[in-house]
Amino acid sequence: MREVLTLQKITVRDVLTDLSFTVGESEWVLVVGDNGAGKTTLFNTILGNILPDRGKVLIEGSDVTSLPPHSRASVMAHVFQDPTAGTVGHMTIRENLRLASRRGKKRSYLRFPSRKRDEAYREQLSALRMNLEDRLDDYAGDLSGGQRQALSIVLSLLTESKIWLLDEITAALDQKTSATILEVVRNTLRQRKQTCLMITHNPQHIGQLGDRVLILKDGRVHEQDLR
Amino acid sequence: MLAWEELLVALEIGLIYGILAIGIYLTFRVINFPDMTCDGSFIFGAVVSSVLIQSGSNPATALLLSLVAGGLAGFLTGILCVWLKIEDFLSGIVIAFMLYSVNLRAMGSCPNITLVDQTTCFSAGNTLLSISLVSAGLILLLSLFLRTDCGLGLRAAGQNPSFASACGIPVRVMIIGGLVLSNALIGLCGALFTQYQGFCDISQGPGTLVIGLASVMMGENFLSRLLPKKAAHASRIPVLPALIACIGGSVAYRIFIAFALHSDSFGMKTQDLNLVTGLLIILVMKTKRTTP
Repeated sequence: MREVLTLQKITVRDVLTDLSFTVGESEWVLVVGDNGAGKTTLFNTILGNILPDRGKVLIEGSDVTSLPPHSRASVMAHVFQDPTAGTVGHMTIRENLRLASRRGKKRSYLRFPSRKRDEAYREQLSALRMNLEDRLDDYAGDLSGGQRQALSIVLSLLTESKIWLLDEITAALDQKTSATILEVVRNTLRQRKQTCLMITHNPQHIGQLGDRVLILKDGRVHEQDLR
Repeated sequence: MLAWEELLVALEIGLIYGILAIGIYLTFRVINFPDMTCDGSFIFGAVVSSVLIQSGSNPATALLLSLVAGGLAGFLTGILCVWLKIEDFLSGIVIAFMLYSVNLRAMGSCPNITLVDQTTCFSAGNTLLSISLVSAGLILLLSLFLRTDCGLGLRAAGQNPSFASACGIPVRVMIIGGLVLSNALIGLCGALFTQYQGFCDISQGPGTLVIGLASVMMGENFLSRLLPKKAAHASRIPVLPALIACIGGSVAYRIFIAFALHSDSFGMKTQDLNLVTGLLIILVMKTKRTTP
């Protein structure tokens, strides 16, 4: 299996210690651990929000350790735990989609909204079956938590990325909405064969989702194969 | 009672100061940055314009270089805050504070410069028409820019930096860009005002922020009554109406001042100008529509 993401002896203060693992192409890896185990620090290190004290982050063999977060956006898409963090509340759904559709691409001074792109956005939103396709002019901040999280998943999928990072995406949602969101994730992974790292706190997810589990404990990682 | 001429002057000054309000809208509303540089960049633009005109430069060239000077002040504030990690408030205050010395030096240690015998942009032609055209042109250009992918990135960088960064937007560059754009406009406003009134005084800088913010908020207040409730929040007002509201708020502010200058019939004196103007603003803001 081709290696997509490799972490080599990553050390971040006293949170992560000599942490190393590899995630292959189309693999779905769950990351679990107690509060304070370093799950979010791990994601922030991969995303470039935290510069590790030691070690390297490699994407398809290229060292991206010193790249700022916005420079990594073309290869990785991130869905935040908090639905309000993954969208701009005071912008319309259309504007949020326009923003995300240029992830990792040049932003032009001459590119304006167009009907053609609206059609493409409607198509993406209709897959959620939440009627968001008819609400392009509504503000993202007026959506419910579940709708907003579903929107942020669509936003993360608008461009091709090598790695999909999902940070406790159902933590703030009720059971029914969680099930809908996980169904969207499952379908996406099936269709796109995307490499995915997903932080979860829910023990029910282990065994039901993912190919492999990374258990973070005392800053170190223990692996468990689910296949 | 206000005379027609006084209203006309209030309208002209209001339109000029509307450019300041647009600059402040860009920092406080678009990139969400509490920029205090404007007290310095306004007068910096005015000084650059006055000194250049006095030395025989073309008034239009003086305006252009004032725009650059204001932009430079914004750039320095951005560098202090974004790269040197100095508090946003403090970065602007420090630059404005330092610009006072720079301005005085540029003015040859004299606190004012007169342009009475000099040719300015307003020496010929219809003043109201030319200021209106400048304001309309700026509104058009800015509203177009803020609707492009790049302008959308600027807005996102201010409203949700984490998400913007995850979308590949270089947030720090965008914040510096926003500060440059805003202060360039404020510098231009200073230059236009100094050419309009025919002199430049170093004491005109302090208080610029209050005037600009009051104009922005009054404009938003008037506009929020016309918009549907869900769009009435200050950050949700669509760009074009928000920019027009900045100009409208600024004109309203100047008309309030004109009224305040006539408050002697109520027993008030000239020195009560700020008090009366402030009370009128509070009265308008008190009736602000509740937004979500």
